Amino acid sequence: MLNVKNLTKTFDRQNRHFDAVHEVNFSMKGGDFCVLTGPSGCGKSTFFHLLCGITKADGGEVFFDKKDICKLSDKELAALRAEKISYVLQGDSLLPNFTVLENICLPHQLSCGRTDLEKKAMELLSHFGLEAMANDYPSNLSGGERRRVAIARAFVHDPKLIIADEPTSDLDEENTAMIIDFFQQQAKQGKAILISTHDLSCLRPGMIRYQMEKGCMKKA
Amino acid sequence: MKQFVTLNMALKNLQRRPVRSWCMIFFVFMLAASLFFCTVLTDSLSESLEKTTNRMGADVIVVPEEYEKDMADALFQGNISSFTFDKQWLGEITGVEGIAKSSPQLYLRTLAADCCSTAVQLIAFDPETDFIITSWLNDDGIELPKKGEVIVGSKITPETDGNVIFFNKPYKVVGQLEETRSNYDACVFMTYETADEIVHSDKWIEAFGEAGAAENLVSCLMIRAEQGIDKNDIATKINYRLSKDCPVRAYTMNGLLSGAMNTVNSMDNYSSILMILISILVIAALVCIFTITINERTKEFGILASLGAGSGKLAGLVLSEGCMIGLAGGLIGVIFSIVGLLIFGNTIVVLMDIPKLITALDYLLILGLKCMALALVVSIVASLYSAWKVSRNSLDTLIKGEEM
Repeated sequence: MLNVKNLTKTFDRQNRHFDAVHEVNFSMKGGDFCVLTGPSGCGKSTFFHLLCGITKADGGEVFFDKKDICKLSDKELAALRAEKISYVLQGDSLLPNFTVLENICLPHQLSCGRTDLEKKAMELLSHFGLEAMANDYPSNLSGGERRRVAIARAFVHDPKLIIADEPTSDLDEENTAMIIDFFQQQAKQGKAILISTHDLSCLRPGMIRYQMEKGCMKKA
Repeated sequence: MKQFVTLNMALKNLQRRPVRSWCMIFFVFMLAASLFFCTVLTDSLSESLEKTTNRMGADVIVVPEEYEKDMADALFQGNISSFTFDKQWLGEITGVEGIAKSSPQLYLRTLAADCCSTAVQLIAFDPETDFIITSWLNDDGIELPKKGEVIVGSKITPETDGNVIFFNKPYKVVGQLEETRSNYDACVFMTYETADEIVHSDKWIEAFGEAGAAENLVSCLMIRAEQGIDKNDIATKINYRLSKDCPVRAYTMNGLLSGAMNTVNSMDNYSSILMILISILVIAALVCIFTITINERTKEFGILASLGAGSGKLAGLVLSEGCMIGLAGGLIGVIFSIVGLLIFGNTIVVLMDIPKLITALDYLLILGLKCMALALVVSIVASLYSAWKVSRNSLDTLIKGEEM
């Protein structure tokens, strides 16, 4: 499903080139649950941005469903993010002007015209114990609840690949367990899950762990 | 439903930020209301002037030199006045080539006192020579008034017995002219015989002093030029003929109303400049608010982009918000102005010393639509820059929430 070859991204910082992502090779298939660990600033987020087509690579290739996404136009990349690759941003990523239910459904209506997501959204909210908050605004939710809503939004339109950037950071054990359990359950149903984390305590058997350091990635 | 998602999201964004939204709506409201009111004002003045000129049907008018402004004010502004000159001076005009018709008129005023039904302009005409008022009567199917009878304009309301009282004497109203939206709507018309009776009534003499026989008094001589003859030439020829001590002068209708025309033109120019300045200010204010807002909302756009919203859709969202601000501000401005004009129209007329305001609903609605269109255009123009910035920025910048 996903095949990354020699992926490189270079940034300029204080007149100095450095590789945020350096010749990374990586692959995953449906049902894989991969966890990327590494210190802050090691290039995890940049790597994820490259996989989603948010950032353009300076070298290498990213094949998703046998298509090199590095060669896709902005419009095609947007369509890919709208339909097949779901990305959960680091931190709070809910839209403050929309209710929980709207946060899950409206962005997908805007990006790909899906208007049939409300039922699935309520099912996901119910799974996360948030169905009573469907009409609340994000400002009324705790950090853990917001994170669960963001994850529900990532799954609602049934994407193939879900990439989540530190989905459990700053969460208590209960919330962390709930989210990891959900990811595992989705992986078992055939979705490819890729997350990054600092919290090694959330690692479970069956997860494929990768370690990233100074832009280089290796299987741990 | 699918096609309304952008509008739905834009509406929710505006609703959830009421202070910002109402500030922007207020700016657009000011623009729409100012444009609406200035246009009604200048159009009303232009229409009054045009209707007065058209209704008059005279090309050249001979009036006492010192009362030229009074005459213009009587015709255009609706100010009531009495002024006369001796008919003998008209002898010097006879024989001027190019005059097809000429007829004298006598302008008298009534008083806002117990002796008169209302303070209005009385206009006496000579049915034998008249080519103006008799044609209006023919058009409206009204018989010529006899001695003691009057015809009233559309705005004059007779007493319950069908008379109007002037200087303690009742005059029978035998007809009412249809509305012309000119100052003639507030005038009373009669023949010279009736006017003679008025100027010899005790109350008139008490108020204005002794007058000679009305048939010898003239306020103005209306002249229609022969076809193909230049009216300026006729006025020039008449003035050339008149001796230096003659108190009257000939003016073309445009010349007589030139002061009013200049005023209208100046107002038109000033209001155009004002509108351009207000539009620029509103655009600048909206651009500032939009830019600040968009910079605060960079992360929101990043979230949408990360979920697959393309740059066109993000720009569409910003433009939709601009459209809604424009429509809301324009609509509120127009409704506010129409209601204000309908309720306070008369007060505005008095306060601004203007003849009248156009309050015809069809005119107001069409103007309202034009003002709303301008408000919409201004709002879209103001949001274009922000829409462009959102659509041109890298997704990285948007997701990181950095200032654009």
